[in-house]
Amino acid sequence: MWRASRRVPSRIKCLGQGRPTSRAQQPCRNYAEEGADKSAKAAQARLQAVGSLPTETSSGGVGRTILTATLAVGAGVGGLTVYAKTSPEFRKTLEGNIPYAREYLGAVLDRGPKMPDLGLGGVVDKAKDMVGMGKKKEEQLGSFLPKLSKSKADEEEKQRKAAADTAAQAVPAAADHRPLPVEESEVATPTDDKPREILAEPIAFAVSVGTDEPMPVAAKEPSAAHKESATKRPAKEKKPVGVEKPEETAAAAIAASMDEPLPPESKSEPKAKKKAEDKPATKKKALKEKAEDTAAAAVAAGMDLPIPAKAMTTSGEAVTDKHVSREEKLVETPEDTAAAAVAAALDQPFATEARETPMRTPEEVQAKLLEKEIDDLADRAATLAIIQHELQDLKRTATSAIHAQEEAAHATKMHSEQIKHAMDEDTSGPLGKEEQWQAVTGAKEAQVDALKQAEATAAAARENLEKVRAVIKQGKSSLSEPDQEILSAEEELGKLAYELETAVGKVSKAQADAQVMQEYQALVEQGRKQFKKELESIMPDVKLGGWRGKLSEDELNSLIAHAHRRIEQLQSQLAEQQLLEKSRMDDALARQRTEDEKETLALLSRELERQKRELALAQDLRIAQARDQYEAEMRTQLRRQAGAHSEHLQDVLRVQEQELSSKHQAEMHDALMDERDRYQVKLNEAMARLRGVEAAIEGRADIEREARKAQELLIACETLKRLINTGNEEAASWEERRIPLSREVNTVKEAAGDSKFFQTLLGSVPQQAMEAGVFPEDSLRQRFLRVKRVCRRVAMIDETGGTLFQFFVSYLQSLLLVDAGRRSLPPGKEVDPKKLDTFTLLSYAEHSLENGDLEQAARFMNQLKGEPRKVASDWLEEARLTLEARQAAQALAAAAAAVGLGNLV
Amino acid sequence: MAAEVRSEDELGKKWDRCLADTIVKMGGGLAVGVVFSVFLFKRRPWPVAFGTGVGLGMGYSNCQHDFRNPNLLHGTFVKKIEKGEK
Repeated sequence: MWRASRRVPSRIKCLGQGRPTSRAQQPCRNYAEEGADKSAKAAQARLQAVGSLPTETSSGGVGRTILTATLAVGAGVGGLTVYAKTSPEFRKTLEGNIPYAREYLGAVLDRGPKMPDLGLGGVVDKAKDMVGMGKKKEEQLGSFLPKLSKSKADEEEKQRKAAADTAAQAVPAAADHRPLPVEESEVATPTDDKPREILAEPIAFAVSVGTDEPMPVAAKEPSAAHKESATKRPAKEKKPVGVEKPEETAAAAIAASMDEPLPPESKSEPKAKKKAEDKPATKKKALKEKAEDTAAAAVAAGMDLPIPAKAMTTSGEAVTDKHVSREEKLVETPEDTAAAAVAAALDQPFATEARETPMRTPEEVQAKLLEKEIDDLADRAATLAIIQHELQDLKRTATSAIHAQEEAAHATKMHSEQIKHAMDEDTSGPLGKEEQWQAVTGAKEAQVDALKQAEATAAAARENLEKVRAVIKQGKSSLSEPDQEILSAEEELGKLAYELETAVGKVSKAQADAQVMQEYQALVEQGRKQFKKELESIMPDVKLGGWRGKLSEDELNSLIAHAHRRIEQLQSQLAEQQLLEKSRMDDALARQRTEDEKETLALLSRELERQKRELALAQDLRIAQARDQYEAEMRTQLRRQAGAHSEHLQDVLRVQEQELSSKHQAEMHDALMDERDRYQVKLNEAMARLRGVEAAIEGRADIEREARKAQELLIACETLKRLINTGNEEAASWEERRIPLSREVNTVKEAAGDSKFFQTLLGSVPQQAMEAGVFPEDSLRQRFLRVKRVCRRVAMIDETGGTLFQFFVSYLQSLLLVDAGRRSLPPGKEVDPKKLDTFTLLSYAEHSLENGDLEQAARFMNQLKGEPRKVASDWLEEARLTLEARQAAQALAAAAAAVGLGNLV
Repeated sequence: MAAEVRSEDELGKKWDRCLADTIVKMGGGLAVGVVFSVFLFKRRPWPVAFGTGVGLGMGYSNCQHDFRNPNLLHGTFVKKIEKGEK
């Protein structure tokens, strides 16, 4: 459109506009129209193109939208995924905001989908665990024990913890325990029962594994034992109390275990005594048998020693010698609480040492010592237990006996009183005569019963006493040293016996009184009877009891007379009696005195006995104390000795070590010196030989050096020669084949040394050759070709120069003159220098060059004249240099060879 | 004399020089001729030829002179070098 506005130029060549010109013209093109048409067409086409889209929507448009939508969504998702892969923050935002994005991204981005878990991987891990577990189990079963001991150990731990709580209450209970009264001991036992019940079950299980004993029995005792062990450890400082406790509770346990009541007592003392003696023995045996397993448990608890289950029975199935020995000990001595007591009594390290397997002898010895002590203590404990039990029995019976005795005495007294009262004619009492006599009979019956009872109980008590005495005696004999307990038990025994005897004495005294009373009664009766008889004889029909009606005077008088007669008689009797009374009194007194004396003697003897017993007890006590003290002291001393011994050993060992080390050092030093000397000798030998060799070598060294020098020289000369001949082989063209000879010449100079000859020769090498180098012959040959060409072209020109025309003519001549090639000089023929012209000379030179005779060629070239000479001058110069250098090199090489040869000889 | 000229190459160099000189002179002559022709002689062709001829002649003359007296040296101007650079 804009074209239409442009002014048409004047020189337009189309018709229709502008002035017509001569040239052929074509109709002017209306650009505007054309442009408009074209644009219109284009617009139409575009419109059509644009308009074509809506017309095609109806066919397949839905599919296409779906496709595009899917593609767009996929692209979006893909883009987001890719971006999420690169940017973790973006990923986090996506996961946070879009549901299921995490799973999708995890599945896609984190190494793709995972394999489904087939459950096989777990198998491997389980297998590994099992193997590991097995190993752990093996480690735990460090000994050849069954799980028994381990479980027991666990249980012991538990009990210790549980029993530690009861220790506080148990200890005060033990603190106020005094074996005298039965009530307190009974008070103490209930507190023991509680923890026993708590711990019964596990212990029962643990123990019943190896034994056939009834569980409750076994349960009670080891529980007590464990409680002891528990109380032992925390309450270590309350040692005496603690030591008392096991016995007390053991006694209680034994009491519990001994269910059978005491057999009916026999009246006879010796039998009772024997029985009493037997009883403790049998009881002890039964106790042993019953307490064996518990002892074993206690030992295990206290000492953690291995106990084979079999060893728990008394059948004696030994597993190893060690266990046999220990088992025997077990059989011999019940150790239910001994171990605990030992652990508390001795130092802890002893126990811990004994816990280790007694493989090493000192530990073993100590363990044996420990066992022995344990046995002793066990013995003591057992005997004490038995003694205590018996003592309690005795106490019971004794008190009952005493009571009975007192009862009997009282009854007897009562009876006597009643008799007296009844005898008295005064019926002013509350009861009538009949009632009084009835009361008397009642009292008599009571007295009889009481006496019987008293007798029975006394007998029983006496029997018990004997038993206890026997047991104590046995205990005393069996133990190495008497225990305080035993002594106190003896004391008690004595006291009880004394009381019993006094009670019995009281009874007998009462009985004696009763006897007296009875005699009195008999006498009175007799007198009354007599009176009655007399009265009857006088007045037979008068009954004493019944005064029926009045009596006649005669009767009264006769009665009175009888009465008077009787009175007189009685008076005389009385006087007699009074007289007799005195004597009788004296007799009686005397008798009484003797009786009293006897009594006092008996009493005195009893008292003496008692005193003796007390003294003996005190002495025993003191002895026991002293023994304990000495034991302790000895132990400390022994320990000290052991310590000193070990120190001494250490010292001795140290000294020995030093000695040995010094000796060793000395020996080593000697050996070293010897070795060194030998080595030195060898070295000297070698050195001498070496020196000889050196001398020999040096002798040849000069020769060798000379030879080498000559060789070097030769090599250098040869190198020089070669270099001169070949030049720089790496050069691309013949122009660069020059190499400065200075280095090689210097080498030769060095190799030659001070030889003047060589120096002179070296001096003859031209300086330019040294600096710039020389061309090898090949290069000169190649160069000669060019030189020859140029020389031929300027053959007609002489030194003065020439015009261009002359140059042109000369060039023409060279073209026309055929180069016949190399012309060889006829052999032996002399050459006339005047006849030689450029071309001949050149051909001769070429020929000689071809034959390798540079010298001859140089000579020929030297004959050139005029311009060719000027042209060839450089070449000639170079050839001359080369020839000189070569000559020098050849001379050098020859000289060097001569020298070398000379040296070779 | 940076690179030494071999004697055999001397003539060749001389010829090169000669030729170059001649060409230069001819070109110069041509140029002068053209100028003359254009400005003074109304674009007649003869000044051009004349100039070229003059150039050629001069070159030839120089060559001849050079060849005739080969021993004459060709000097070159050496730039004066300051003290510090030397």
